[in-house]
Amino acid sequence: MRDVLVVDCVGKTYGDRRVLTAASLRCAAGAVTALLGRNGAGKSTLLKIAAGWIAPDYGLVHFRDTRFVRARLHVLAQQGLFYLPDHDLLADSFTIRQQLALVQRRFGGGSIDDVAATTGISDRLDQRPRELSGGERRRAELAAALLRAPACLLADEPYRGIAPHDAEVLSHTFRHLARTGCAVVVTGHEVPTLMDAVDRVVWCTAGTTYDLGTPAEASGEWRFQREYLGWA
Amino acid sequence: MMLPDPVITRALLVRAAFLWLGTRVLFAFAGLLAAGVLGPPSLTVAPHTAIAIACLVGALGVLDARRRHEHLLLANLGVSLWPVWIISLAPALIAEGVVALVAS
Repeated sequence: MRDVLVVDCVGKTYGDRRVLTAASLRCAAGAVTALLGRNGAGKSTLLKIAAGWIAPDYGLVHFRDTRFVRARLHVLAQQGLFYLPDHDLLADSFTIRQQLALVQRRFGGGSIDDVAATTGISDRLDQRPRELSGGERRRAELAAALLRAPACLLADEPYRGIAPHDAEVLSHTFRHLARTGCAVVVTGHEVPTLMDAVDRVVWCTAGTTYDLGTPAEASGEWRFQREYLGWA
Repeated sequence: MMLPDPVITRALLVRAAFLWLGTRVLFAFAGLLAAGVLGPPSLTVAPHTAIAIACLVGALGVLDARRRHEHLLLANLGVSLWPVWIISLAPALIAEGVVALVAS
Protein backbone atom coordinates (compact mmCIF):
# COMPACT_ATOMS: atom_id res chain seq x y z
CA MET A 1 0.00 0.00 0.00
CA ARG A 2 1.22 3.50 -0.86
CA ASP A 3 2.09 5.84 2.02
CA VAL A 4 0.03 9.02 1.85
CA LEU A 5 1.53 10.66 4.92
CA VAL A 6 4.95 10.00 6.39
CA VAL A 7 6.21 11.67 9.54
CA ASP A 8 9.93 11.14 9.63
CA CYS A 9 11.99 11.15 12.80
CA VAL A 10 10.39 14.14 14.51
CA GLY A 11 11.22 15.51 17.94
CA LYS A 12 9.38 17.89 20.22
CA THR A 13 10.19 19.44 23.57
CA TYR A 14 7.79 21.45 25.75
CA GLY A 15 9.90 23.54 28.11
CA ASP A 16 12.17 21.07 29.89
CA ARG A 17 10.06 18.07 28.97
CA ARG A 18 11.11 16.12 25.91
CA VAL A 19 7.94 14.49 24.58
CA LEU A 20 9.24 13.04 21.31
CA THR A 21 12.84 12.24 20.47
CA ALA A 22 12.66 10.31 17.18
CA ALA A 23 9.09 9.41 16.35
CA SER A 24 7.90 8.33 12.93
CA LEU A 25 4.52 7.48 11.48
CA ARG A 26 3.56 6.02 8.12
CA CYS A 27 -0.05 6.29 6.99
CA ALA A 28 -0.88 3.92 4.15
CA ALA A 29 -3.73 4.51 1.71
CA GLY A 30 -6.69 2.25 2.40
CA ALA A 31 -5.58 1.30 5.90
CA VAL A 32 -6.73 2.26 9.38
CA THR A 33 -3.79 2.67 11.76
CA ALA A 34 -4.06 2.89 15.53
CA LEU A 35 -1.53 5.05 17.34
CA LEU A 36 -1.44 3.71 20.87
CA GLY A 37 0.51 4.70 23.95
CA ARG A 38 0.21 5.73 27.55
CA ASN A 39 -1.04 9.16 28.60
CA GLY A 40 1.72 11.68 27.99
CA ALA A 41 3.60 9.37 25.61
CA GLY A 42 3.25 11.94 22.83
CA LYS A 43 0.48 10.47 20.65
CA SER A 44 -1.46 13.71 20.34
CA THR A 45 1.74 15.69 19.83
CA LEU A 46 2.79 13.34 17.03
CA LEU A 47 -0.65 13.61 15.44
CA LYS A 48 -0.60 17.41 15.68
CA ILE A 49 2.83 17.48 14.04
CA ALA A 50 1.57 15.14 11.32
CA ALA A 51 -1.40 17.44 10.75
CA GLY A 52 0.75 20.58 10.66
CA TRP A 53 -1.02 21.97 13.70
CA ILE A 54 2.20 22.34 15.68
CA ALA A 55 5.79 22.54 14.47
CA PRO A 56 8.32 19.85 15.43
CA ASP A 57 11.73 20.86 16.75
CA TYR A 58 13.22 18.69 13.99
CA GLY A 59 12.15 16.06 11.51
CA LEU A 60 10.11 16.10 8.33
CA VAL A 61 6.56 15.54 7.17
CA HIS A 62 5.91 14.11 3.71
CA PHE A 63 2.38 14.40 2.39
CA ARG A 64 1.45 13.04 -1.01
CA ASP A 65 5.06 13.11 -2.20
CA THR A 66 5.68 16.68 -1.04
CA ARG A 67 8.23 17.20 1.71
CA PHE A 68 7.51 19.79 4.40
CA VAL A 69 10.06 21.08 6.91
CA ARG A 70 7.23 23.11 8.45
CA ALA A 71 3.90 21.61 7.47
CA ARG A 72 0.83 23.74 8.06
CA LEU A 73 -2.66 22.35 8.45
CA HIS A 74 -4.34 24.74 6.02
CA VAL A 75 -1.81 23.79 3.31
CA LEU A 76 -2.12 20.04 3.97
CA ALA A 77 -5.92 20.40 4.12
CA GLN A 78 -5.94 21.90 0.63
CA GLN A 79 -4.08 18.80 -0.54
CA GLY A 80 -6.45 16.31 1.08
CA LEU A 81 -5.74 16.01 4.80
CA PHE A 82 -8.47 16.24 7.44
CA TYR A 83 -7.57 16.61 11.11
CA LEU A 84 -10.07 15.69 13.79
CA PRO A 85 -8.76 17.10 17.11
CA ASP A 86 -9.69 15.59 20.46
CA HIS A 87 -12.34 18.31 20.93
CA ASP A 88 -14.17 21.18 19.26
CA LEU A 89 -13.62 20.83 15.54
CA LEU A 90 -17.00 22.39 14.82
CA ALA A 91 -17.69 25.95 15.93
CA ASP A 92 -20.70 26.93 18.03
CA SER A 93 -21.30 30.00 15.84
CA PHE A 94 -22.99 27.97 13.09
CA THR A 95 -25.38 25.03 12.87
CA ILE A 96 -24.15 21.57 11.89
CA ARG A 97 -25.84 21.92 8.49
CA GLN A 98 -24.12 25.26 7.84
CA GLN A 99 -20.73 23.81 8.71
CA LEU A 100 -21.24 20.72 6.60
CA ALA A 101 -22.30 23.04 3.76
CA LEU A 102 -19.00 24.91 4.16
CA VAL A 103 -17.09 21.65 3.63
CA GLN A 104 -19.33 20.70 0.72
CA ARG A 105 -18.95 24.06 -1.04
CA ARG A 106 -15.17 24.08 -0.56
CA PHE A 107 -14.38 20.52 -1.60
CA GLY A 108 -17.40 19.26 -3.52
CA GLY A 109 -18.12 15.97 -1.80
CA GLY A 110 -21.39 14.11 -1.47
CA SER A 111 -24.77 15.01 -0.09
CA ILE A 112 -25.18 16.44 3.41
CA ASP A 113 -28.30 14.35 3.98
CA ASP A 114 -26.46 11.16 2.98
CA VAL A 115 -23.52 11.67 5.35
CA ALA A 116 -25.90 12.77 8.10
CA ALA A 117 -27.86 9.54 7.65
CA THR A 118 -24.64 7.48 7.63
CA THR A 119 -23.45 9.04 10.88
CA GLY A 120 -26.93 9.17 12.46
CA ILE A 121 -27.21 12.94 12.92
CA SER A 122 -30.07 13.66 10.48
CA ASP A 123 -32.27 15.06 13.25
CA ARG A 124 -29.45 17.22 14.63
CA LEU A 125 -28.49 19.09 11.47
CA ASP A 126 -30.15 22.36 12.42
CA GLN A 127 -28.68 22.45 15.90
CA ARG A 128 -25.43 23.99 17.04
CA PRO A 129 -22.60 21.76 18.34
CA ARG A 130 -23.10 22.94 21.95
CA GLU A 131 -26.64 21.51 21.88
CA LEU A 132 -25.36 18.01 21.02
CA SER A 133 -24.06 15.25 23.27
CA GLY A 134 -20.38 14.27 23.09
CA GLY A 135 -21.13 11.25 20.89
CA GLU A 136 -23.37 13.26 18.56
CA ARG A 137 -20.70 15.96 18.21
CA ARG A 138 -18.14 13.28 17.35
CA ARG A 139 -20.46 11.85 14.71
CA ALA A 140 -21.14 15.34 13.32
CA GLU A 141 -17.38 15.91 13.02
CA LEU A 142 -17.06 12.60 11.27
CA ALA A 143 -19.84 13.64 8.89
CA ALA A 144 -17.67 16.63 7.96
CA ALA A 145 -14.75 14.25 7.33
CA LEU A 146 -16.97 12.02 5.17
CA LEU A 147 -18.10 15.01 3.10
CA ARG A 148 -14.48 16.07 2.67
CA ALA A 149 -13.57 12.56 1.43
CA PRO A 150 -9.96 13.14 2.47
CA ALA A 151 -6.84 11.35 1.29
CA CYS A 152 -5.78 11.15 4.93
CA LEU A 153 -7.80 11.45 8.14
CA LEU A 154 -6.08 11.98 11.48
CA ALA A 155 -8.46 11.49 14.42
CA ASP A 156 -7.25 12.21 17.94
CA GLU A 157 -9.04 10.12 20.57
CA PRO A 158 -12.33 9.88 18.65
CA TYR A 159 -13.72 7.15 20.96
CA ARG A 160 -13.20 9.03 24.21
CA GLY A 161 -16.32 9.31 26.35
CA ILE A 162 -18.83 8.03 23.82
CA ALA A 163 -21.41 5.27 24.00
CA PRO A 164 -20.75 1.81 22.47
CA HIS A 165 -23.27 2.48 19.69
CA ASP A 166 -21.52 5.72 18.76
CA ALA A 167 -18.17 3.90 18.83
CA GLU A 168 -19.60 1.36 16.40
CA VAL A 169 -20.70 4.13 14.02
CA LEU A 170 -17.22 5.67 14.25
CA SER A 171 -15.47 2.37 13.51
CA HIS A 172 -17.82 1.72 10.59
CA THR A 173 -17.08 5.18 9.19
CA PHE A 174 -13.31 4.75 9.53
CA ARG A 175 -13.54 1.43 7.68
CA HIS A 176 -15.73 3.03 5.02
CA LEU A 177 -13.21 5.84 4.50
CA ALA A 178 -10.34 3.34 4.28
CA ARG A 179 -12.24 1.37 1.63
CA THR A 180 -12.34 4.53 -0.48
CA GLY A 181 -8.52 4.72 -0.31
CA CYS A 182 -8.20 7.11 2.61
CA ALA A 183 -5.31 6.67 5.06
CA VAL A 184 -6.87 6.78 8.53
CA VAL A 185 -4.97 7.21 11.81
CA VAL A 186 -6.77 7.09 15.15
CA THR A 187 -5.43 7.41 18.67
CA GLY A 188 -7.07 6.30 21.90
CA HIS A 189 -7.04 3.93 24.84
CA GLU A 190 -10.12 1.88 23.93
CA VAL A 191 -7.97 -1.14 23.06
CA PRO A 192 -10.66 -3.76 22.21
CA THR A 193 -12.58 -1.28 20.02
CA LEU A 194 -9.43 -0.07 18.30
CA MET A 195 -8.00 -3.56 17.77
CA ASP A 196 -11.25 -4.55 16.05
CA ALA A 197 -11.32 -1.46 13.84
CA VAL A 198 -7.74 -1.11 12.61
CA ASP A 199 -5.34 -2.79 10.19
CA ARG A 200 -2.07 -1.72 11.80
CA VAL A 201 -0.85 -0.74 15.25
CA VAL A 202 1.85 1.80 16.00
CA TRP A 203 3.04 2.07 19.59
CA CYS A 204 4.26 5.41 20.87
CA THR A 205 6.53 5.09 23.90
CA ALA A 206 9.64 6.71 25.39
CA GLY A 207 9.64 9.45 22.76
CA THR A 208 9.71 7.11 19.80
CA THR A 209 7.36 4.83 17.84
CA TYR A 210 7.28 1.15 16.92
CA ASP A 211 5.29 -0.22 14.01
CA LEU A 212 3.90 -3.43 15.53
CA GLY A 213 2.10 -4.68 12.42
CA THR A 214 -1.43 -6.07 12.49
CA PRO A 215 -3.47 -6.06 15.73
CA ALA A 216 -2.80 -9.82 16.08
CA GLU A 217 0.95 -9.27 15.69
CA ALA A 218 0.84 -6.35 18.12
CA SER A 219 -1.00 -8.44 20.72
CA GLY A 220 1.81 -10.98 20.53
CA GLU A 221 4.52 -8.40 21.15
CA TRP A 222 5.60 -9.06 24.78
CA ARG A 223 6.96 -5.57 25.53
CA PHE A 224 3.80 -3.92 24.20
CA GLN A 225 1.76 -6.39 26.29
CA ARG A 226 3.75 -5.77 29.43
CA GLU A 227 4.17 -2.00 29.24
CA TYR A 228 0.92 -0.89 27.61
CA LEU A 229 -1.77 -3.57 27.54
CA GLY A 230 -0.89 -4.89 30.99
CA TRP A 231 -2.10 -8.34 30.02
CA ALA A 232 1.13 -10.19 30.76
CA MET B 1 -4.26 32.90 -0.25
CA MET B 2 -7.57 31.07 0.12
CA LEU B 3 -10.47 33.19 1.38
CA PRO B 4 -13.12 31.85 3.78
CA ASP B 5 -16.59 30.92 2.58
CA PRO B 6 -18.99 33.90 2.18
CA VAL B 7 -21.00 32.66 5.19
CA ILE B 8 -17.95 32.90 7.43
CA THR B 9 -16.77 36.12 5.77
CA ARG B 10 -20.15 37.77 6.49
CA ALA B 11 -20.00 36.70 10.15
CA LEU B 12 -16.41 37.97 10.46
CA LEU B 13 -17.33 41.33 8.90
CA VAL B 14 -20.29 41.85 11.24
CA ARG B 15 -18.23 40.91 14.29
CA ALA B 16 -15.38 43.18 13.16
CA ALA B 17 -17.81 46.09 12.83
CA PHE B 18 -18.90 45.58 16.44
CA LEU B 19 -15.30 45.16 17.56
CA TRP B 20 -14.39 48.46 15.88
CA LEU B 21 -17.33 50.16 17.57
CA GLY B 22 -16.29 48.75 20.94
CA THR B 23 -12.68 49.78 20.43
CA ARG B 24 -13.73 53.30 19.43
CA VAL B 25 -16.02 53.58 22.48
CA LEU B 26 -13.08 52.54 24.69
CA PHE B 27 -10.89 55.13 22.97
CA ALA B 28 -13.55 57.79 23.51
CA PHE B 29 -13.86 56.74 27.17
CA ALA B 30 -10.09 56.91 27.61
CA GLY B 31 -10.20 60.33 25.93
CA LEU B 32 -12.88 61.49 28.36
CA LEU B 33 -10.77 60.33 31.30
CA ALA B 34 -7.73 62.13 29.92
CA ALA B 35 -9.74 65.20 28.94
CA GLY B 36 -8.69 67.08 32.04
CA VAL B 37 -5.06 66.77 31.00
CA LEU B 38 -5.22 66.75 27.21
CA GLY B 39 -8.27 68.86 26.52
CA PRO B 40 -11.73 67.83 25.17
CA PRO B 41 -11.96 64.38 23.52
CA SER B 42 -12.19 64.35 19.74
CA LEU B 43 -13.69 61.84 17.28
CA THR B 44 -10.81 62.26 14.87
CA VAL B 45 -7.45 60.62 15.42
CA ALA B 46 -4.13 60.90 13.63
CA PRO B 47 -3.86 58.71 10.49
CA HIS B 48 -1.30 56.40 12.09
CA THR B 49 -3.57 55.98 15.14
CA ALA B 50 -6.50 55.12 12.85
CA ILE B 51 -4.35 52.45 11.14
CA ALA B 52 -3.25 51.14 14.55
CA ILE B 53 -6.91 50.89 15.64
CA ALA B 54 -7.77 48.98 12.44
CA CYS B 55 -4.83 46.58 12.98
CA LEU B 56 -5.91 46.09 16.59
CA VAL B 57 -9.47 45.27 15.47
CA GLY B 58 -8.00 42.78 12.94
CA ALA B 59 -6.04 41.09 15.74
CA LEU B 60 -9.13 41.04 17.98
CA GLY B 61 -11.07 39.44 15.12
CA VAL B 62 -8.47 36.65 14.91
CA LEU B 63 -8.56 36.15 18.69
CA ASP B 64 -12.37 36.05 18.59
CA ALA B 65 -12.31 33.42 15.82
CA ARG B 66 -9.90 31.34 17.93
CA ARG B 67 -12.11 31.76 20.99
CA ARG B 68 -15.06 30.43 18.98
CA HIS B 69 -12.95 27.44 17.79
CA GLU B 70 -13.37 28.55 14.20
CA HIS B 71 -9.63 28.51 13.44
CA LEU B 72 -9.47 24.71 13.33
CA LEU B 73 -12.52 24.45 11.09
CA LEU B 74 -11.04 27.13 8.81
CA ALA B 75 -7.67 25.33 8.71
CA ASN B 76 -9.43 22.09 7.73
CA LEU B 77 -11.10 24.10 4.97
CA GLY B 78 -7.66 25.19 3.77
CA VAL B 79 -7.87 28.75 5.14
CA SER B 80 -5.09 30.27 7.25
CA LEU B 81 -5.61 33.03 9.84
CA TRP B 82 -4.23 35.81 7.59
CA PRO B 83 -7.47 36.20 5.61
CA VAL B 84 -9.35 36.33 8.93
CA TRP B 85 -7.10 39.19 10.05
CA ILE B 86 -7.55 41.03 6.74
CA ILE B 87 -11.33 40.55 6.73
CA SER B 88 -11.57 41.71 10.35
CA LEU B 89 -9.41 44.72 9.57
CA ALA B 90 -11.43 45.83 6.54
CA PRO B 91 -14.55 47.26 8.27
CA ALA B 92 -12.36 49.16 10.74
CA LEU B 93 -10.30 50.70 7.94
CA ILE B 94 -13.44 51.74 6.06
CA ALA B 95 -15.07 53.12 9.22
CA GLU B 96 -11.93 55.08 10.14
CA GLY B 97 -11.92 56.51 6.62
CA VAL B 98 -15.57 57.54 6.94
CA VAL B 99 -14.94 59.14 10.36
CA ALA B 100 -11.99 61.08 8.97
CA LEU B 101 -14.07 62.21 5.97
CA VAL B 102 -17.05 63.29 8.09
CA ALA B 103 -14.85 65.05 10.63
CA SER B 104 -13.02 66.99 7.94
